[in-house]
Amino acid sequence: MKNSIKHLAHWGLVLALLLPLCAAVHAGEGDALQVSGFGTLGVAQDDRQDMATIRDFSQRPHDGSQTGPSWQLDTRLGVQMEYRISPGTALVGQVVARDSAQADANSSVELAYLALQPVPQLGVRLGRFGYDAFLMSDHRNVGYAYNWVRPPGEFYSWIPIFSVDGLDGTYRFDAGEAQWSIKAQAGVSRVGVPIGTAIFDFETRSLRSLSVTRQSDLWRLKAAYSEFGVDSEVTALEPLRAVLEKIASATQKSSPNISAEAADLSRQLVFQGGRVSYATLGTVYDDGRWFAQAELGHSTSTSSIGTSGNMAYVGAGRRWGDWAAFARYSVAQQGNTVRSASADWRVLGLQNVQAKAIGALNAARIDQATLSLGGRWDFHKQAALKLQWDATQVNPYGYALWWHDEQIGASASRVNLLSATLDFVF
Amino acid sequence: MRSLRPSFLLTQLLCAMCLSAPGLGRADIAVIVYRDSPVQALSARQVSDLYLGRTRNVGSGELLNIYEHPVDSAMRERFFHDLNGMALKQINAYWARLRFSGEVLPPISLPDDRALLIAVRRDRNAIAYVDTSVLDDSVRVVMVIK
Repeated sequence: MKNSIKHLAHWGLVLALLLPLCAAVHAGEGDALQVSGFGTLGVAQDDRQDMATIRDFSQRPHDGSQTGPSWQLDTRLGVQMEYRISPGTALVGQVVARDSAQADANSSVELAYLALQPVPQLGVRLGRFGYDAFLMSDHRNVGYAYNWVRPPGEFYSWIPIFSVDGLDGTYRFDAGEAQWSIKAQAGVSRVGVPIGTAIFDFETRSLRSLSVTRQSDLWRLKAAYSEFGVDSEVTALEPLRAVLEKIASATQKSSPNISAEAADLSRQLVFQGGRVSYATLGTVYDDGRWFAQAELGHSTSTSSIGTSGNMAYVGAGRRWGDWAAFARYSVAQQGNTVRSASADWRVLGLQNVQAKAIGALNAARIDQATLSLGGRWDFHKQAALKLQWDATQVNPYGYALWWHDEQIGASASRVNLLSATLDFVF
Repeated sequence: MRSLRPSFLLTQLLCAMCLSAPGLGRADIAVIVYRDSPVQALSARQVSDLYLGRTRNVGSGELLNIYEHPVDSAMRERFFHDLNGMALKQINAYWARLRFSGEVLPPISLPDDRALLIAVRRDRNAIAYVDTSVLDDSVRVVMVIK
């Protein structure tokens, strides 16, 4: 079943990428082939010498945690091609150039699918499509589509899935004044996550999502559940696990406490085979003048180095013609408690190994909250300027969304981030 | 002998009004479909849902091919403003989410009223909006936005 979905997705992806290129080289108004795109030119600067933020887990700051203006954080460019074969059949491909530690051709393809609509109520996509587990998970890259500079990091920065290779289906129906849609997705995904100087090839298997959306005039409500298995291992941690297993074995009789802790630490550092789930509930309100958005989420992970916990945000704003101002508060609370030493490894002179293993587990924790204030100016019909200030409080051992100096991990930090972007579509 | 249907009468009446009252201000916007389409009339809510990507079906059982004016045109700006009160910049941001998330493909954009009229004459499943001043009886008017 898994292989069938993979093969189907592969063919959908190939078709979506190749057919538009073969169909025509010219695309004008009314043509079956349409070319469009979006982009963001952004600059951001924080006030800490020992911390640097990321927009998502695929990024690695170019200058470590040094303070300085960063163009890489938000800048990106996307090009989309749509080829309408018939009223109910289309091919869609989208390539996005953005900063990520593993920037290759495969990871740049965000969308590549064959869309079928056999009857008005039912839509099916085959190939690579956006992940539909959250309100904004399928359009995080499209800054022009939302008022903020970027989606709240507490909710979105640590979601390691952007696109899914597989099959999805949407059933739409009307009920009273509202339109409902039920969407199911199944497939696999892959993204490169930088860990130190290495890249963790994060692969999922058996990814399944189900979402229900209710759209009325001013309100959109969405509830979703998604789960997947982890199909790859963090190779950068393998030497550490090997040492822990040796210690567990060698100290079984002489120091059973150390042996038990070493075995447990080694077990907790295994990622492959773990399962992760997300449950979310979100709403959007927009009456043209006032707008608001809020989302609640709960995540579980069977692996201790998988991020789990609760996250939430609420934001609201007002428009005055082409100008808008907004405020937002977002928070993430880690599900795993802070890991600390249970045995004294100094008797063996191996306290550094113990500290490294515990440090690796605590490094995956996210525990922070951010207050954001900002504005948007739609100075052009297809372009907007945005300015945003984020004030973040990071709690001890809650730094997973920051590249930081090791010594600050056990203490709390405050950091201010000022960002400006030019967002556009074409 | 073919009987005159209300939609043809409406079209003729609108044409007559436009021809007889030039210079009295801008013309209304007519939402049009293929002349023999099963779609007889639409409410503002139905047209709004079609052009917001929320549906492609208005009860006829067939997928409609939705056509519109260029994305930054004054006619598109006027259409959405008069239809549902949404500003063009707000509509463009709204469609950026739908289009680039891959959720819904946007309406097919054509350069002007004449091109839209031709498209609707040829396509049995077409729907478009045009200035009432270009109307003739080759298409059916299903709604007028004043």
